[in-house]
Amino acid sequence: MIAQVLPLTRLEWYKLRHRRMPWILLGFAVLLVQIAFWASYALFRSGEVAVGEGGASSTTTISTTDQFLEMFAFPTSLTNGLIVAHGFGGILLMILAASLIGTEYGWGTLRTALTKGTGRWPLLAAKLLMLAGLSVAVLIVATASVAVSSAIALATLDAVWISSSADWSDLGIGFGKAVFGMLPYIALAVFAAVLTSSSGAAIGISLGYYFVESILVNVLAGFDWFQRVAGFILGRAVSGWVQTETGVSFQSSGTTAGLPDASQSFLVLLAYVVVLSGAAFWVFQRREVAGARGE
Amino acid sequence: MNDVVIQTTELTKRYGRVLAVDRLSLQVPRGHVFGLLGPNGAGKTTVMGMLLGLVRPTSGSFSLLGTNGGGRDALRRIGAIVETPAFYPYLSGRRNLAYFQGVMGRNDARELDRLLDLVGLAGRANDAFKTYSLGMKQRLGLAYALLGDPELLLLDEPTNGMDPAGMAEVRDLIRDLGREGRTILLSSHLLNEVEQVCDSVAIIARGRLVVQGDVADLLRPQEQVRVRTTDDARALEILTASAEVEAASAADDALVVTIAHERSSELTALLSKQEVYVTEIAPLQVSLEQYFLDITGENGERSE
Repeated sequence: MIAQVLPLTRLEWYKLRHRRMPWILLGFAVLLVQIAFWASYALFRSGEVAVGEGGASSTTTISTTDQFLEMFAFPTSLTNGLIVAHGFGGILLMILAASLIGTEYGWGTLRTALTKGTGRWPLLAAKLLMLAGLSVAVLIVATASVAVSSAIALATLDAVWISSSADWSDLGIGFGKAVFGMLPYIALAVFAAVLTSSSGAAIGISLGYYFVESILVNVLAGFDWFQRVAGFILGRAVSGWVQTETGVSFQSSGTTAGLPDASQSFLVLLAYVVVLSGAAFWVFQRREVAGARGE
Repeated sequence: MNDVVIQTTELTKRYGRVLAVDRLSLQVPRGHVFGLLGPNGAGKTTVMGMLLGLVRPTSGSFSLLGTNGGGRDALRRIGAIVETPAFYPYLSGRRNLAYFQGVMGRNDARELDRLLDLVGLAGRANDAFKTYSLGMKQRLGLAYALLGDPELLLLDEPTNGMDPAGMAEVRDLIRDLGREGRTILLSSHLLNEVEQVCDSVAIIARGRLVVQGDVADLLRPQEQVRVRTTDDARALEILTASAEVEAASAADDALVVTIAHERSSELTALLSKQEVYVTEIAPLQVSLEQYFLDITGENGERSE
């Protein structure tokens, strides 16, 4: 089975790399992390910045060069870039995943592929595998762009290649967590696309869920009963999974207070990935395939 | 070697209350160019979809190339176009073919060149599919169907959208492919296309098999004459009872009699012996289209 999925994954990339959409989305990912980086840089240079710790935010004054360097030196700057890239990257990958599968129905190309004897299971598995690979690529490219910006920022202080007190291994762990934290959103978008057979509807459902969930988490945060189930909500589980040791979360899905611990979050996210992907495979395998829908 | 390449047994597809295909039993012999003829909405594309595993039959069974229910191994030996060929609009014709060749686990640039040349798309091979006319899309669909040199071709309305010259070229190509020994199932609503290209034909209407047989037998114009006599009612009795007459019926103010043309002169003698005299006799030209409409029951009911 793997022997069939890997060549199909390569072919998925062959198709995708000739589309403009992934390159535009990648450009957006880089642009957004750069905006976040240089906005922070400007704030630090101006001397005032809002910092959050353990969910409580306050405004403090950064006046020493040491503090400045701590935020923008390697690898802390890269970890911060990873945090931003993960947040935006998840949204962009949802759009890409929904488009990748929805357009196959819209153009009618799914039928063309299946009539050449391509198994449905391997075809969907190849798409999922490529999307997982893209999540790695998005994070690498975005973080690499932050590395360049970080070097430029440090050069403005004649302090190039100064290391922060953070551990480089944290960056590696954070990278792995960020990738895994994107998978449930990819699975959600894939399931929505397979269910609706439409890229537009799938993008709407995926992004709608993402933002509505964020709003509901904040609205319902005051209820005791909600706190008991909050750890099982996708956005909260992602926040719990990718939160840094300082208590600052990668995610902005509500307050960071009371987030589930990493192990519970891992299991919840794994359940989301398995259930959503399984449902997508089940529908994809069983559904009859029609011609182009003109989308 | 199995001599039946496609066999359907009581194949049925129901969409809710709509019976798209109704207990269809077909046999497509190896090496034949077999026409599946029927008006739009007769269930031809649904039959193709079921054979290709795209549509799940409600009941019944089929075998493809000796494999029950088709399956991936059988599909790899089949080339198919279903309705308007669908390809990635942003990829060129060549890249589309290269992708689907890759899906089959192959990578052969010479085959792409040969097929693009065969269907007359060599000059536009590097243009994006979205810039192609409908006729060019059909040609690319044919090239796609021929990837991997399949032994069975399922072609659903392959000349749809083509100009007359393009249609003629594609029909020539299909005939040539048939002469090479390939089995071809050609679905069409165009009688002359089936007549020109196919060896045998199954006519379906409303999902049901109406008739199946050799094209020469089924689609030849019926030999009929229009007869008026001094006593049409009596003449009808005489002709109906006669062994020389295949069929006779009253139509408007005359009789329509089916009889071999070379024997139509005998009608006069037959009737005069019974003291019924012919006042008028003329050959009745029944067009293929009329025959098709009559046999599929679509006469006067078609909206398309």
